[in-house]
Amino acid sequence: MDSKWSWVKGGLALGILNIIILLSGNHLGTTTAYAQTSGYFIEFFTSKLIPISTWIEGTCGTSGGLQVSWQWMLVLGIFIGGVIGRFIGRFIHGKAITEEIPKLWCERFGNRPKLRLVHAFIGGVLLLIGSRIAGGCTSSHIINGMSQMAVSGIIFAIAVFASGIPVSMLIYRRRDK
Amino acid sequence: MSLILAVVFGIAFGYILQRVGALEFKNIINALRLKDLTIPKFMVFSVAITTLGVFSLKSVGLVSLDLITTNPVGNLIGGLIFGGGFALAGYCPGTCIGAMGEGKRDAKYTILGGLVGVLIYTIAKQYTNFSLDSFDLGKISLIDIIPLNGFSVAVIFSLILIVAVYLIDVWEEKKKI
Repeated sequence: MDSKWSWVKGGLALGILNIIILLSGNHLGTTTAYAQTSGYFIEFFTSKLIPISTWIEGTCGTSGGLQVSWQWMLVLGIFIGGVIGRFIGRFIHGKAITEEIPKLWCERFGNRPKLRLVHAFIGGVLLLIGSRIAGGCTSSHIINGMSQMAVSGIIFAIAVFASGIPVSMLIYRRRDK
Repeated sequence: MSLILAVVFGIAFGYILQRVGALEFKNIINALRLKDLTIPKFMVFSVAITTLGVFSLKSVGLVSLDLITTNPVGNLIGGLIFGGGFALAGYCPGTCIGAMGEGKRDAKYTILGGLVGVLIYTIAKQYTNFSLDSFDLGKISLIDIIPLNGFSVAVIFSLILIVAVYLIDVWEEKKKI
């Protein structure tokens, strides 16, 4: 077993971090950064196609434009946090911890890296379409919203698990049963 | 200055997610299959901590609520689509960024899918009259619905979450033996 944090330690750490973030006058959220990045690319090629407000409207962010905003920098930080975690993990365990394709996925679908990448891609498309319709993602609706007892966050959390549980049970059911 | 803080918060967030194992495909899928509820316990516990902190600070006027608009139809439909993507990708829009930092190849494809998802949503929004705005109920929190003072509601809400997490933990420990 790997020497990871327990859920109690992690939950305390994230809880306190989230309080500090709210004290600083901002809130967690990642959807805006996706909208800004996609929007930036499209605007770069054709600026007349879609008005900037359509990209940002209804995202969890506080920014009104396609510039590098608070939430974009937060997302950059999450990336750096992952890099740091990886190197510390490697330092503790003495070897690389990342696997090319998740083992659990291989057990179900076999060693087909390309199919895994297709799944990951379609999953990403669904995640962000869902987030945009719902007005936020896990970070903004659940971690941030539910902490403030937002009704939106509670409905979103119930909906995510109401579809996530049956879909994952269906996808990753044991083949031999 | 606030942008530098955003990166720092992001690093802390990404690092916590990495240490707890929320960036692992296996842990997310096993949570959705109800085989290993470490990640949900971690999330719910952090929400309980933040709720206590935020509503304590709010009662002395140090922090104000920062909510996402509740749109029951949007939150529900979005959440259901999101759950499907969650089960397929094994990441959420925030964790795939940290997972990319960790060096996971499939996470990059989830991010790419996410950017395409935003694009599809935005084009649909621009060229059709698709809108769920008529279902907007405004920015509501449980404290606006329950006729008790905000701090009491927060304490009750946190206690319910902590008891729920504790019971889940006891149940999971029992199952292991």
